[in-house]
Amino acid sequence: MLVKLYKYLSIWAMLIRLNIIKKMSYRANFVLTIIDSLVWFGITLTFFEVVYLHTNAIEGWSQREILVLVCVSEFIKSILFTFLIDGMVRIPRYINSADLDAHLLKPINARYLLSVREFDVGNLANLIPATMLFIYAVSGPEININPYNVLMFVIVLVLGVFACYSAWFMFISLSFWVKKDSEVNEMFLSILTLMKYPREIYKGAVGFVFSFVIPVVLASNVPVKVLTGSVSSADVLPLVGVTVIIFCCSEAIWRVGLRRYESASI
Amino acid sequence: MIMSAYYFVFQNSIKARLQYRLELALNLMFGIIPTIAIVSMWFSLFLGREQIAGYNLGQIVTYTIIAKLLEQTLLPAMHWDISGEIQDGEVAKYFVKPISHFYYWFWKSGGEKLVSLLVSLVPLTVVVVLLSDYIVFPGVLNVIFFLVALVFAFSLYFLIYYALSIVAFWLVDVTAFFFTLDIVIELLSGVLLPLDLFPQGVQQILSALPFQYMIYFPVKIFLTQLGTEQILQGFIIQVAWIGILGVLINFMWNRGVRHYDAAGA
Repeated sequence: MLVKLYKYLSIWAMLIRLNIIKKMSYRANFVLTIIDSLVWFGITLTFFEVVYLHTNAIEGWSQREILVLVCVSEFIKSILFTFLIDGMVRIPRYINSADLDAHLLKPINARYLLSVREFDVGNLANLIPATMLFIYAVSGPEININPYNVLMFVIVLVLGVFACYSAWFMFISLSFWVKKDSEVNEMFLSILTLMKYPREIYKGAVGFVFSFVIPVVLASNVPVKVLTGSVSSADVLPLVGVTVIIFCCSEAIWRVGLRRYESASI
Repeated sequence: MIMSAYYFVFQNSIKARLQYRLELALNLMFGIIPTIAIVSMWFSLFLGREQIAGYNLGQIVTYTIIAKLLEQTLLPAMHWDISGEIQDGEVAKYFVKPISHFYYWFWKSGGEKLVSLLVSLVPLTVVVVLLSDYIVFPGVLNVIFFLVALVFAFSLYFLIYYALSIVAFWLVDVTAFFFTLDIVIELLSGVLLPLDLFPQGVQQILSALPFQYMIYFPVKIFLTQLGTEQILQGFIIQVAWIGILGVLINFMWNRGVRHYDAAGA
């Protein structure tokens, strides 16, 4: 078991190293990504600035808390993009062109390889403005930083990332049935934009879907609640449960899809 | 003869676009997913309140949805192709043909956008069914004004993105900025928030720019929040911006072509 874990992690490390070498030839993109990220933050913060001209709170969330939420959402998105996106967007193409075969033959879990195969170091640039803003945001009086909640924060953040990844993979697996390359990805990426709002605004079925079926909103909100001190087991336990369930579902759909896969290109 | 050539381009573009109607409808549907958040936020903010900055809940929900649908319908895609044509030297072929590059792309884009506008009725219908209590509709006269404003708004979108794409004559990597510019224009044109929610000073700056006449102005007509005089005044400003941008593009094009060496052709 441990040997296997070591093998998988060292393969990942090697893939990351190879990808960094590959991407280093596009260093100018790093600067462009930072500019892009700064503009994005500028727009998002202006949006909330204007909204808060007309209200004191959104469902009890102060503007400072929203700022933390925006940063956490950006963390989750950047981590997903850095470690996964280039690999994930290729999977539907592999399925439709029957290039998946080559990956199925390798002596490693195919899903693992396909998910982590591409590492986009350029996307890490997004984390620089996000981290700076985050440090500013959590230095406010609403937030009490101590070793315990920082550790908790990291744990729930990783859980949230994993939950989002599983949901994303579930969408990707639909490619065995939906024969449109980009569409499954586009839809998931649109849904990711819902992360940066308080969970409480999503009422009824919408709230249920984006917290428990495609749990992006739960994933971004729980880490913030850990930091603001308003977290309870009623927040963390659902996140743990949902993460496990979504992962199992995504694995089941993937396997059913694989059984259906005929290795015929279209 | 020239006129009929453009008519042909227009017609072909409509036919080609119609082939992808299902894909288009799906894309428009996905495109309004981010709007779920903003609409939900307004529902929350209106709990226990009747009005925010002169809007009631129905008006602001309608604003948010119509603005997003309009953006998706009008936002051109041709700037990717045009800057590509310039980068790889393809654009040189227009220099020897008896049609203008500008009008060729204008009519091609126009055909596409007409189909998009029709297809956007599908997501609009879905939204109206789901949120029937919160969508407000204008009368016939305002619908006519709205459609006129849309034609000008489309022209403004086209001109601005055309000007951006021919920056490729000087700056090879202009495409790197396209997505960033998209989100800036999204805010300044009033897709995310009605511009009268902004502070007075900011509103004044924005009214000196062309962007609000692409989204904010047509949607305000749709909400019947503008009087006839304001609407006519808006039309004049739209036309004035079309003229200014036209002159700018003419200037840029002539300079650009002279500067151009058609590398890659």
